[in-house]
Amino acid sequence: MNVEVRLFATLREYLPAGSGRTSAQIEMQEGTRICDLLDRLGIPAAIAHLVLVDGRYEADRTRELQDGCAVSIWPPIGGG
Amino acid sequence: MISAYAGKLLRVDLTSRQVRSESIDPDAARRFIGGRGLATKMLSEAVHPQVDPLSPANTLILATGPLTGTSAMCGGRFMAVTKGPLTGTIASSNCGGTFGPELKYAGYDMVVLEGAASEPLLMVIEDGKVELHPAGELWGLNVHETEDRLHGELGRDFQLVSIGPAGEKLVRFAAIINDKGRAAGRSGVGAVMGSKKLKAIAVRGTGGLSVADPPGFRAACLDSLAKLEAGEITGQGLQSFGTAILVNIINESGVFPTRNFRQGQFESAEKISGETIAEEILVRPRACVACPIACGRVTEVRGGPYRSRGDGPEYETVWALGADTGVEDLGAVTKANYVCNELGMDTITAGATVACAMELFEEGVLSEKDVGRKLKFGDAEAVVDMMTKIGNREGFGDVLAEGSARVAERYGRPELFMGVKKQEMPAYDPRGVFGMGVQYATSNRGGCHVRGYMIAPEILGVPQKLDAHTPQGKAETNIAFQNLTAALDSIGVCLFVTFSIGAPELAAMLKTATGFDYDADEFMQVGERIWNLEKLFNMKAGLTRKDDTLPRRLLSEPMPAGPAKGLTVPLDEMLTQYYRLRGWDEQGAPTQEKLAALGL
Ligand code: SF4
Repeated sequence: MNVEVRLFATLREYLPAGSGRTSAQIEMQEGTRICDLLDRLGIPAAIAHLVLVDGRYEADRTRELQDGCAVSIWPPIGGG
Repeated sequence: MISAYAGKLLRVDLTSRQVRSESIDPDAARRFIGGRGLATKMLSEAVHPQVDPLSPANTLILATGPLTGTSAMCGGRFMAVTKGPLTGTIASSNCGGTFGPELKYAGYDMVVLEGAASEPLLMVIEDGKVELHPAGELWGLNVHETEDRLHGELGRDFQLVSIGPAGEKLVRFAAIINDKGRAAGRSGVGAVMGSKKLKAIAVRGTGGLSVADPPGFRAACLDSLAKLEAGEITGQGLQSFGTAILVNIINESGVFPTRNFRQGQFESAEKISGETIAEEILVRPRACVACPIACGRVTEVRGGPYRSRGDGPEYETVWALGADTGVEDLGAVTKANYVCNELGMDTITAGATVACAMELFEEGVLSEKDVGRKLKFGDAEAVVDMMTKIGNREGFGDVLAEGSARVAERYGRPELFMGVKKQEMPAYDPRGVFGMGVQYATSNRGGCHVRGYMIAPEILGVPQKLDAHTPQGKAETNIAFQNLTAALDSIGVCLFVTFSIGAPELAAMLKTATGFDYDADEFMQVGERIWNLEKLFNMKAGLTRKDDTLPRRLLSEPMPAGPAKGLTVPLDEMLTQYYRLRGWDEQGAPTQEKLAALGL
């Protein structure tokens, strides 16, 4: 299945080579969980502070991803 | 003399040009700290809440806090407190830069500006010596020209606050600017300074400040500093990407107001994000005095029609001049920001007012003849052009200079004003972040995010994540944030420290600096006292429960698409809860018991 990964702020350095400014399409096996995706990209779990799946906050890192979904990940950020 | 304070205030009657120095009352300082709190107390006693904000009967107070100018980190802040011409409520706008500390080194915690001069004046304060000079030659100059001229004449050791043409011409959202790019931005405090015909204050001080418990203060500051440096947000994040790092997360969460809050997602958000700013226009980060965070941006648009260099844009600014007007051209957004800095006006209200006018134009309410040009969403050139016209009150800019509440009202479509108490909401649509709904509705200065920043828990997961789509628990958290911020704005330290430290650390610095025996609970209670006093001012100004509301669009038009699709703000439920938890009656008035408990 295909998942769109979007990485922001300092996490952009974990994007695979050849990606756009903040996003990449990644081919994963069915049943892949958020934590598997983090492993595959080499992102330490502790700095993946905010994970949104299709715009919705996801606290459960063992949640399985669906084909065609968009996973967006941020380190701790602030502003305002 | 109280430790950490300069101990004196400067009272200036601009009508008679009398200047007096007075002592700071230690009892009042203990109960209201300084900055926003102490200035609100003094304003409440001196000004009838029903005065015309732009008349000589209004008073404008520039107030530092006890930690301003000390070695406390991010302690460079001061507040401008007055009755606001945009809202008719109490106005208190926070400003960074170098002015606040310098004022204290010159011997004053506050400048209290009363009356109004008959001709433009410049005030020069040098170590306790105060002079008022005619400033006809400065009148009409923009903020950058004013600063350059004064630095040339007085020397670069002077720190400055000034107004631009927007303040002189009483644009209802004119700002007071320090260091060319730092603004006491919101609610029109710059128009009040303009109504008093005070163009600028130049200050130089060579004095020092002493704290009550030097080793204890040093330890408390080092503890807070270590936490700021260890915190991901305050240690590195804000410096690398600035506040506009929020663009993508707010947009992906579906609460990035687009085209006057018609939508919650902007298809071109990426083009105006903090990441794009860092790659394309950032020259270097810039910090206020004593700040290790350095969220400010020195930027340069290197080519195209908007070539120029300056400060900004911040997150709220890229939203107001970008997504809210449908503009995706970062160069144009940045240029429009520079124009606001130079003319001296609030970017949030300026952008949001143009966005409101764009909706009126697209609805056919405004014509090309009214505006003098086309004014469609997405027209970058129109946004830059309108900024110049508003700041100078030229052509249709004269109409927009009144702010979007009055514009929407004038053209018979008051529901298209996207704000509260006549002040425009900033960059978060509360239909998908409910706590911001109760925050906007109850904010004592109208639509505002920095009175109680519910985005931190509801979107950013700081200090912990709350579900953004439920009303449960929001009133309670919002009240705690409002009280914390009111106290923080009174000590002279920047709000952004609260991404890493809270009331215990702030109270520890305050206690060791002043010698007053504050703890975290008392610190929060001072915040509650200030909040209630502001509320009393607004009630006496004529505001009632019906002013604690949101635009109809947010209460009854469901979000059209995205993660918040189908949602509206369940305000009544949160508001009832909010009043109850505040100890206010059903009409939102503080009860006698509550006022007695707070000593008001
Ligand atoms: S965090 Fe930003 S606004 Fe606050 S004091 Fe530092 S540079 Fe100024």
